[in-house]
Amino acid sequence: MPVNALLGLCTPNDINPAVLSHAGFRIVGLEITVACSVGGRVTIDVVLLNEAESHLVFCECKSGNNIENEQAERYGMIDPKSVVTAAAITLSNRKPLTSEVLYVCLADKSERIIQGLDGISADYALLTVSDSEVALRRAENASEILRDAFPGGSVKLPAPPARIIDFDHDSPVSVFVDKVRPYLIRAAARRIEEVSVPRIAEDLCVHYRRYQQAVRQQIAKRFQTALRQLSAEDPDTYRYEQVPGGGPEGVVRLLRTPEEFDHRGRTVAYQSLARVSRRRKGKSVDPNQLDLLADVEGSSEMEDPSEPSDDEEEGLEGEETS
Amino acid sequence: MTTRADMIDRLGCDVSSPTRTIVVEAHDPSGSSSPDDIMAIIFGSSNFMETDDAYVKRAFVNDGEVWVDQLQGRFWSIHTKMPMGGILPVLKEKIESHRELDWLWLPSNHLQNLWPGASSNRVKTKFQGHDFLPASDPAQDLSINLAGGGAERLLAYISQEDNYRSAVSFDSVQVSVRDSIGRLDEAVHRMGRFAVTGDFEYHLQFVNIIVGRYRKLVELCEQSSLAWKPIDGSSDDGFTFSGGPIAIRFSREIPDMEQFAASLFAARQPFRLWGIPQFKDDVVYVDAVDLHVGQQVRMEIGRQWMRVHLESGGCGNAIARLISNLQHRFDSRLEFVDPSLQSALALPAPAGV
Repeated sequence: MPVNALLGLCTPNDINPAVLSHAGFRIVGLEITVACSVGGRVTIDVVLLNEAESHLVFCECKSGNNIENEQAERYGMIDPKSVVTAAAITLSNRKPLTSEVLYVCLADKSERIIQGLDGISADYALLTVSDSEVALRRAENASEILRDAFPGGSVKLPAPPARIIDFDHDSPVSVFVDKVRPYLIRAAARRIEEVSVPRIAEDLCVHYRRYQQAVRQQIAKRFQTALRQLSAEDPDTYRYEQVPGGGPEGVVRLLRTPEEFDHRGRTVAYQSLARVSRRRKGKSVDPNQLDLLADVEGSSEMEDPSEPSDDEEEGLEGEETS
Repeated sequence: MTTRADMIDRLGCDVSSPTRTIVVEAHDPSGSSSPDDIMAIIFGSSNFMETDDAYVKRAFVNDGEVWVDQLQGRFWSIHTKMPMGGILPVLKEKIESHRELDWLWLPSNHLQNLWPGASSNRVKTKFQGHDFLPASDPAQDLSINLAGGGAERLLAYISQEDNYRSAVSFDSVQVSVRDSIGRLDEAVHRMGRFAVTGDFEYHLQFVNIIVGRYRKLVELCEQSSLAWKPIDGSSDDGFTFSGGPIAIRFSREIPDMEQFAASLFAARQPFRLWGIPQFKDDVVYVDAVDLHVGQQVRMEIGRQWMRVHLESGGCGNAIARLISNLQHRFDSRLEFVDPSLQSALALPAPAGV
């Protein structure tokens, strides 16, 4: 996700150079919603502050090919003072407050993003990220402070960006399976006997509480699908129970835990839990456990109807990625 | 009436009768277990008693007596005249089955720079790389036992050899301290075990200092844990975060990423990490679970580096365990990227030592 590359550039002491941090920038807020003077509002993905220069950077991070025109236009109308208020930013000097907009996207999708920005005459700089490089493009639109952070226009990354935010509501179901599996192992290690879906979502999904209801339901549905899949993989260990009538509730019961064994048996039992997931990889789940219908119903309002949902893809191909 | 002075009297040591101290981490991040709950886990609820010192407990194990000093917070010093063979199996069984308890995992560097001005007269290094390195590696398994005043100099000489430089990892050290405070002959094992003859009060200070610098490392790791905070306490107003991944740089390349990951995440002692590694472009991504403390630890591993994402409220002792055991199995010269963490790990020797 491009947001991770951006966060990484502001996080010192990583394998990769924190060039934005070195240039005096720090993150002062994520998902900051501000009202626009012409009406409507915009949620800024990441707000950076260069304290010495009283300069704010409003960053919009795009994983896909396209920009949202209305959103992009609203970014250009943000009053930096509104952001100072909304993000409760402390300004340490009285220099005039300045700001700029920065789009961040994947390098292999940058041409489409540039086309989109040009199409609405949005003169924003663009940070393109890959696993090995971050580059500042359309640098003529960037402030000098920002340009100075990227001497030569780009920075090489010795390692892929750290996965500080490792998934969100747009991630495919397979990622939810990968996240919930160790969560249940952790629960087993703590001898927890049951966990609810909302609890799992709150613990694993950083933004869960601040999402709107529809998105929370989307996340819960994906966790439900993931839990059904794990229950089907290993019915002796997990049993998922859906609350009648659907909804985000639902409980997964841990029917046994390796903690019940002595230390040698415990190790073997944990190892076998890892093997179950590998053994079942690619095998279709029990159709009685897999409730795709609920997913279709729950996600139809949120997803682009022109693209198949991850749930549908999974059901059609019978794939379970782990 | 039983006081701290009584403990010191009972544990006073001489050459013929050394005293043993084992430091364990007794820590329940959830706060649901009180110190007495943890004492009951270790000794049984009817096998320990209070003393007049609020931090000192007296307990009984297999016909032997132990004194538990809780003055150092989460790091408890368990003192006894019993032989290690009498007390260790009891502690091992409890520690390995209760997430409130863990050993101290002293990094090799802490043993190497054990005590300013002290001369090491015995040094043992132990490197068991068979799970992480190919059989062709000249130092796949390397143990060295040295005795005498030149032990450390000889080790330093061996450490300069390219084939062995990443495999000289201190396992235990014995030092003699003779100064104006007192005299000690102290042996220290990397898992927080001490055996001492000499001035017992000085020994207590010695242990406190070793534990204190270990605590600093553990707490710095905990301060690095990733924490998301809502702005103004309301989740509707956006959020900020603090911390970040703990980055480790290796002095050698991982020769076989699959073997490395399989060994590290096999749910076995000493790492006790469970995880299903996912490989992408020579990088391993793992949502691991530290089975000992029951916490999730995301990790990313490249050929010559590792990132550890400690969850908010996560236990820094788990990072110390990872570091210490990687030093003994893969790379004794690994380093933290964060200078403050690295300083707490490496303990640069003070001038004149």
